[in-house]
Amino acid sequence: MTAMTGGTDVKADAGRIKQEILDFIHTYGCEQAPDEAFDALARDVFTYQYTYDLPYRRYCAAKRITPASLRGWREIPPMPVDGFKHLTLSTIPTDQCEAVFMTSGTTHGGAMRGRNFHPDLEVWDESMIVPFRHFIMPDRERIRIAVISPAWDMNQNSSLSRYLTKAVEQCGSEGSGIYFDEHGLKFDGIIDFLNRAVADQEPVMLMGVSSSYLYLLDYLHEHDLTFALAADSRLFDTGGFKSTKRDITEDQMLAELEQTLGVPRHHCVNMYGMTELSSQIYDQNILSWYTDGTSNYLKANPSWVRTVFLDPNTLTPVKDGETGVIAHYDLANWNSCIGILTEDLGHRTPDGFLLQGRAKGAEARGCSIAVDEVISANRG
Amino acid sequence: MGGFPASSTATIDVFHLPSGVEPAEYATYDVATAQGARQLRYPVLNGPAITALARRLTEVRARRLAAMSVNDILDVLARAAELWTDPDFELRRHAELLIPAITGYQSDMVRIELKRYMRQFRRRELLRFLDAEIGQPAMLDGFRPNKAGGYSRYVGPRLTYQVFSSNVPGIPVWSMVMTLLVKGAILGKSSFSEPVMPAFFARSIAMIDPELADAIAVVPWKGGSQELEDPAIDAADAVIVYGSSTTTKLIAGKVAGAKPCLGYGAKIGLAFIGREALRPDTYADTVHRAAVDIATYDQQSCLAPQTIFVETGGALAPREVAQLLGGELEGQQRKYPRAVLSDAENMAIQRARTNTEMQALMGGSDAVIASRNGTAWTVLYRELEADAGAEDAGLAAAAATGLGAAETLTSLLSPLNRTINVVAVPDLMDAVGQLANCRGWLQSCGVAVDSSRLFGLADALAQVGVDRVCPLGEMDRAKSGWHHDGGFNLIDLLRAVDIERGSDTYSDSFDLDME
Repeated sequence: MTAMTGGTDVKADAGRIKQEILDFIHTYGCEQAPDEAFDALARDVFTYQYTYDLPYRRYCAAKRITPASLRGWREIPPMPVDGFKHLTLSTIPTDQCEAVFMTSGTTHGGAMRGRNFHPDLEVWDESMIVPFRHFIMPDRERIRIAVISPAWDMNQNSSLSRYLTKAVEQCGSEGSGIYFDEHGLKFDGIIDFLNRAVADQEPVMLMGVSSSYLYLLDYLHEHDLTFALAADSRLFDTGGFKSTKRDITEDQMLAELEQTLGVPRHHCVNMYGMTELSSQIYDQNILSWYTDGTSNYLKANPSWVRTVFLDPNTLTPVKDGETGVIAHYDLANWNSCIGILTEDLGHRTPDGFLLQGRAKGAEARGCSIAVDEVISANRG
Repeated sequence: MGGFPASSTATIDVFHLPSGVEPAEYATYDVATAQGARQLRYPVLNGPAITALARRLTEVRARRLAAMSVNDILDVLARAAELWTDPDFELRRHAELLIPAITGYQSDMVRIELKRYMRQFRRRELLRFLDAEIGQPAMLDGFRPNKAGGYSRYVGPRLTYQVFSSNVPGIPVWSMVMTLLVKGAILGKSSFSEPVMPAFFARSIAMIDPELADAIAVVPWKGGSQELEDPAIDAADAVIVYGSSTTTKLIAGKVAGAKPCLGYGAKIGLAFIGREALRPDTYADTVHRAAVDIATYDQQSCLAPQTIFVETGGALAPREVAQLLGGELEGQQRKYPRAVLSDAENMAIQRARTNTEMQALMGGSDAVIASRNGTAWTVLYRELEADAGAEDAGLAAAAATGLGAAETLTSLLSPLNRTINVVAVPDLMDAVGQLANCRGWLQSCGVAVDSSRLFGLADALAQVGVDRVCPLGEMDRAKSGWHHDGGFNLIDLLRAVDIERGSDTYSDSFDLDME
């Protein structure tokens, strides 16, 4: 019944797989791992998932891929993000899982939310902190952090909330705090934080989803407040300024942030995360600033995550530099699927990769009809 | 003006203006054709230029078009259409070169479909069309006795503003012909994605009757340009819009008062295959016909099917039909490869496939039958149980839980580009029953049923808002005289003027010589 050489004891196999992943993280960190090492671990985790994650196994069967037939990690069928909405993808029974992270679920699929189950967060936590230190904190152990989005105490189904709390726990210096509660942003606290930072001439980091910065900017403009934060201060956002509520470009947003908080563009850094993954992907500009003084805004992965770009027509890899739909292979995602097929487009360059975001809705060529049109017409 | 360049030149005009109108500025864009690069040239207009153009068109209409008899106009149009039946006609050859390059449609398909399409405008077809729509076409020329004992004549719009879509090449020709038959001048906004056919048709009219062609202007500009659109709507007596429901609604909202505004917005086509069409002697033809309806213009026309209902109990099970349909679509792909899609279009198809795959993984009877190495064609199979409590996530569930129109409609939609839903049903009437809340979105239905069921099915479809029932395999080829979206093509543009019974005898009473 099982193709797994290790037997049918899921707990034992899970323990072994987790240890292999942790070893990989500690061996290669955020450096490029040899392809053979990545491939070997990817096959192991895939075999484990194929054995114990039944819906995924059936998905692989439909794609005619088995561990025995697999020629390399690139053939591992990536699960479309929609699969996390419809299927229960877990090698361990979900009632034995410590956490389930859920998407906000407002796009396609209506009320359905994507779910990623975590039997425990040991690998997740390690996979979070190693790249965080590498890409966000290359110059220091700790920094004074203000979190301006919901943290772990408010939402235990949010991977981002866990992320923010872990960042403060592991890398926050004295005076760090969470400035978001059930009423929203705690503006008074944030103003105090910013005033203190300026008075102490101490570098600080704000952390939150991109839209939080918009609300903060609105408030600061309204009250005519500007701050000159100390050098080495940084603004960390996730989600992207392009998709936020106001009709404003990313460049305008970054310019406003510089004017209002005194943090230059090269110290604004974006993290790309997905509920369906167990690792994060980062802009390299903070890292490059402190290593060789350059500002590399392209994205990079830790060694255990590889990103491939697929032709939307054939779902086979495009040539380097060509735009494709993004699939991530995240070896830390040991309990669900290591391969994830997103609906985002991007392309690779020699210095990192660029995310272009979701493919824009196809402009209807005429009087035939597209799904989005019906939905919007019936709403309007 | 608008002279056609020799084939050696790489610049081709994709507009038509009345003679003597000289725009201040032109712009160009390039297309890569099978015979090398071509530059397409069009005038850049502004608001005042549109107003001046509208005035000019209205003048020409009064001087020339209004003075012609409907028979003479019909004759000019038919002779222009006749030019297009010659494979060596220069405009036709250029259209056959440019349209595949601009739209991405396969060139053989464009050639064949265009040829068929233009034949609809030959003299005999136009006569039939005119007759079908208007009992007495002579009423377009002057007062004629009516059945009420008086006299009537029809007055058409002086100037129409028409917004053309690009999805199916040639569609604008239809409304241009309609408008000219009712003696209306045309200010047409074409799409950059297919500016060729409306401009070239106008030019072919100019070859037969240059004066009549002076009542036509066709110019591409970017949709939603208020500076151009507002004066155009303002100057026109009637507005005709092809496009998405968003476009049609937007423009309809701007048209003031009693001005007729005909909007041809987005619609969903369906097909119904009865078990009698799946007998050993009939199934092959049935499946082939369905594939043709799906492949023609990659379902971009509002006429094309997005969902096919297949009845169980035939010699072939619906699931087998889905599989055979896949084979036929593969054959179509070899003969007429589908257009190359944008990333977003490809991803929409991948998403639809994933959704059906997920239903299958969750234990449903759903299946994806698809082209191997890409999105060329996709059959998404599912089953609709007679019992509404069934697991099916589509129609039955919608009926069972009273879901709204959006959910039912969504289950009927496909991302197009040769992606088709095949739904197994115990009885075709079960399928029709589920369409009750789709009114306003339905239009064409291709049917494959025997004659004992044709009218019953058509009656039921009429009840849920369908307005065109046609043979499977001919969905993309509406016949001359059809009622587009259920409306009357010419009559909707006309105003009737009556001289009431008794007026004539009363007038006679002033004649001193009358006894």
